[in-house]
Amino acid sequence: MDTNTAPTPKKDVVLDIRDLYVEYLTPRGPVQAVDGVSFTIGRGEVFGLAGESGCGKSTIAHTILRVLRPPAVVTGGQILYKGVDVLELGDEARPAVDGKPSWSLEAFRWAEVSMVFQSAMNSLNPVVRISDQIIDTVVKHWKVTPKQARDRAAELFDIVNIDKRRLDAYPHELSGGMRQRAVIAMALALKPSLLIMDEPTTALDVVVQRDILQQIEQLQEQLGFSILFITHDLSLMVEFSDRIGIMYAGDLVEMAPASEIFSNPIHPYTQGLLTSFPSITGERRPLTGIPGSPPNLITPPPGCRFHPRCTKCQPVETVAAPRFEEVLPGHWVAVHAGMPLPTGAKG
Amino acid sequence: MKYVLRRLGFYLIAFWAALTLDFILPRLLPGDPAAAILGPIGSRMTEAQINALRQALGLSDAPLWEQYIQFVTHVFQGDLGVSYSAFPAPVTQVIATGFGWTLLLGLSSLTVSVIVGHLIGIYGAWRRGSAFDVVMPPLFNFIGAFPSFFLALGAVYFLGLQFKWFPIAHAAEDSLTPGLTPEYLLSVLHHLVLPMSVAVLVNLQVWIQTMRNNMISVLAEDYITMSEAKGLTQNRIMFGYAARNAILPSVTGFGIFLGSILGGQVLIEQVFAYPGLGYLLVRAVGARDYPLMGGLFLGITVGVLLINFVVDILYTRVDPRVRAE
Amino acid sequence: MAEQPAPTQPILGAPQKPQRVDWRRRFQWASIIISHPQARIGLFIVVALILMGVFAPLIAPGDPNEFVGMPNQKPGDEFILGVDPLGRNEFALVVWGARVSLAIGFGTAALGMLIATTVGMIAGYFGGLLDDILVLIMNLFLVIPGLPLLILLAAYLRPSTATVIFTLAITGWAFNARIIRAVTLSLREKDYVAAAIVAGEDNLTIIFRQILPNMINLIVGGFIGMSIYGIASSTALAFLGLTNMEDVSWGTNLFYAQNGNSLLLGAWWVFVPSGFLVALSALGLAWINFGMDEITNPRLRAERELRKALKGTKLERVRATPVIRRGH
Repeated sequence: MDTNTAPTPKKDVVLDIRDLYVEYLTPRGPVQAVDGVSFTIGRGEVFGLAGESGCGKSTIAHTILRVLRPPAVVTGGQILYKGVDVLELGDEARPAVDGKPSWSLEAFRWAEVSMVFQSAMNSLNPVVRISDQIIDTVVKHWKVTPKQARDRAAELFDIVNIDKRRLDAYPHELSGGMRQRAVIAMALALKPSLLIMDEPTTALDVVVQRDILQQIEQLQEQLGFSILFITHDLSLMVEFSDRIGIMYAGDLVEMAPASEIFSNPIHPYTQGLLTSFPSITGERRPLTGIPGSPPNLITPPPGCRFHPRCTKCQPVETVAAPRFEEVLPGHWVAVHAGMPLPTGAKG
Repeated sequence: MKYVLRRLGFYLIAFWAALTLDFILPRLLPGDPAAAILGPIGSRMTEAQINALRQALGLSDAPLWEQYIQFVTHVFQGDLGVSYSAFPAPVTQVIATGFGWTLLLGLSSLTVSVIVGHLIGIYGAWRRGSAFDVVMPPLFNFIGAFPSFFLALGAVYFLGLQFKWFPIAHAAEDSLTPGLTPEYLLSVLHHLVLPMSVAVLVNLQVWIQTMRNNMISVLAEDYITMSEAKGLTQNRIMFGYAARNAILPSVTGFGIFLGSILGGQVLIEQVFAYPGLGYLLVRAVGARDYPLMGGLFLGITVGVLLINFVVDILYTRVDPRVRAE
Repeated sequence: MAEQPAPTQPILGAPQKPQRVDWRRRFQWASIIISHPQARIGLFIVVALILMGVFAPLIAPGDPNEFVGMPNQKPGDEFILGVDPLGRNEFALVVWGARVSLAIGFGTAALGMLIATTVGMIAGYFGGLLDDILVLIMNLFLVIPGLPLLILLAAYLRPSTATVIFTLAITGWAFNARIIRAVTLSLREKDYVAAAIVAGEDNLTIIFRQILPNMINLIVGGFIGMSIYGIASSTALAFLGLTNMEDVSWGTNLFYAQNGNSLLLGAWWVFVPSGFLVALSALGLAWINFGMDEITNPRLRAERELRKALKGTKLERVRATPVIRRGH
């Protein structure tokens, strides 16, 4: 997919992803999992990335830390964290250039950007105590004594409201909610500037979900880190995020402030998504959903990847590759010729 | 705790099964077991000698279940009968002479092969597709495909007979008197090298394969991804997170391989005339010394069960989830 | 007139038809073996050895037990592999040895897998007390040391090829039975089995038509594994003199090598060929199994693709998603 010029540079941009391409090499051919995606996250901003399973959002999250598993390969683009391309980081720290700092990959990970994974139970080492799992990271990065690291761990438990006496527990000895809070505590251990949260509440029941999200909100206001929040639950995200990006089949199809996505969705896919959720308040309306199923990413549909399922656009055999453009201030959409746009929007 | 008790119960059942087997087998021989055992020599034996053998075998005219009770009580009193080929030495005495050697050879070769094998497996899985991984595991698969006694014969031929670096028979120099003298201990070590090396080479592939497969499964887990995301050092991730978890199924599987490894030691002892339980067992078979055979089999089984039990206890130390039971 | 529902529409509450067995797909593994290079070599080796045994009368005509010359002669013009301590043609012994060794190996595997599959599937399918008892028996056979038990049994039973196969199968079935039981347990939970039960199929039919076809590559893998075990163990027994010494096998050859002091005499031709062929058959069989494993595990195939793509790029010490820039 073509992108226009790079998104408008802001003063306090923490993360700037430009034209990212990621492939999975399979015996049947390479899967185009991320197809030229660009977006930025500012300081203190909560950016939500939404879409169906397999749309590439989790892939992007893992790629930022370069922990995406084989057989994945990054085939193009840049991931600029505070101006430094993460994709160029290596074993050794590079000398600082243009006043921009440079780290080794090991030093960058967790200290600058950290991540909360989907299942806390699966992301914790089952045979090591929680305290040790925090301590080893703190000792490695900050070069402090284990005692000092342990104090930091206790501090973190206070921040997320877990009883300090549970510090030496094993993961299986904690409840689901406590485990998730422990994992969040771990993610904040080194005071990162960006926290990636990959479906952090999907494995929890609704009440605990609320609880955790409120906690995260509080922490974010307190400590001022940015969040990349990934989920398939759009309704959850709309309340929580400042800006939202909608992904479909490896492409970013719409990006706008949260309220605008909700009140003025432009891309047909976004519109379809919003009508798929029943709302508890307001009038009853028929659930329409989106016909068809996500495409095969080894041979994706040419041009706009959504066109086989789209009910809004002119029925065309193939559509010229859409361009990601700012159709309204702060509101970006993947547009192509002949796409219905609201009045006042640049086509 | 419950876990340990359960395992102990199982080992007691296994012991009882081996015991019962020892009881049943001689009685399966058609006709009078004593006569069958003595075969053609029997005609030249006196009545008294044949009766002595019958007694040694625990055979009598009492009903079967009565014989069984007597048999079992004797075993728990430490009486396994009298050896026929080493008459009048009791079976337990013969077992005692061999037990130590089997344990020495077995534990030393196990320790070395387990440690080395696991390290190779860990590193091979960590650097999959590297030169190390492409060469080492298949190399030891190749070596392990040879029968152990074949490798032993090769070792005897090249290192023992041709180069004369190591002795080729027995556990220590025959001329030396056994004791804790440095002379004797050195001789023991010298005699241990070849059989131990062969045992290690043959069994290495089992540990390499197991550990490598476990590591590969573990490396696909989310907590490994998270540990990488935490920017920990490669060694910390490889050992503290990956190997620490990969070793668990290895420990439980240990017991299965233990039986075949210690059992297979028989062949190595045979080639090197190393006087352990295996060597004595084969000699007993040759001499048709049935009481001794049964006793040695029981002795080997007890050794295997014992080591299994120790490993089980070790497992509770290593996996905190089991401790919770 | 009331409309009939379309024939394709399932009536609410009626069970789905039990899955029909697609035999072509079940035997995919056969074509897969041919395609994997390592498995191909393994298959070639095993087939070559089998053919050598089958055509032994043509390759080395005559009775291999026949006395043909002075014992322990070096290989030369008259005897390709020399003469053994009993004055027999070593080459003939090695070629004819394949018959018994391989036959015992495959015989053990057949009998052993029959027992293992039966016991494993019964235990896994029926569960409950029956399962507990069978698992206990399995574990007993696994923990009791195999070779000593074999030696003990062989000492009591009259040694012959049949008894050897019998005792080997008895001591070796438990390993595969455990695996088959585990897989049966998980397959039993599948939806199509539940559908078959609801449709009223009896247990035997379900076992044979629903569960068994899904375990074919497991059974084949187990068969190959047990063959290795059978060849190796029977060779060991023969080496110890605990089998029918009149049947020429690789193991008996090694027995006479040891007893004829071939080592001391430096007569390597007496024991090297037989031992080497035992190892070769084990390797060939193992490679077939290995190839089957790699092919059936999609993750391994995907990783092979990745390795091919990364060929030439230096592996960094720190594990990270590789970056290979391409034009877009």
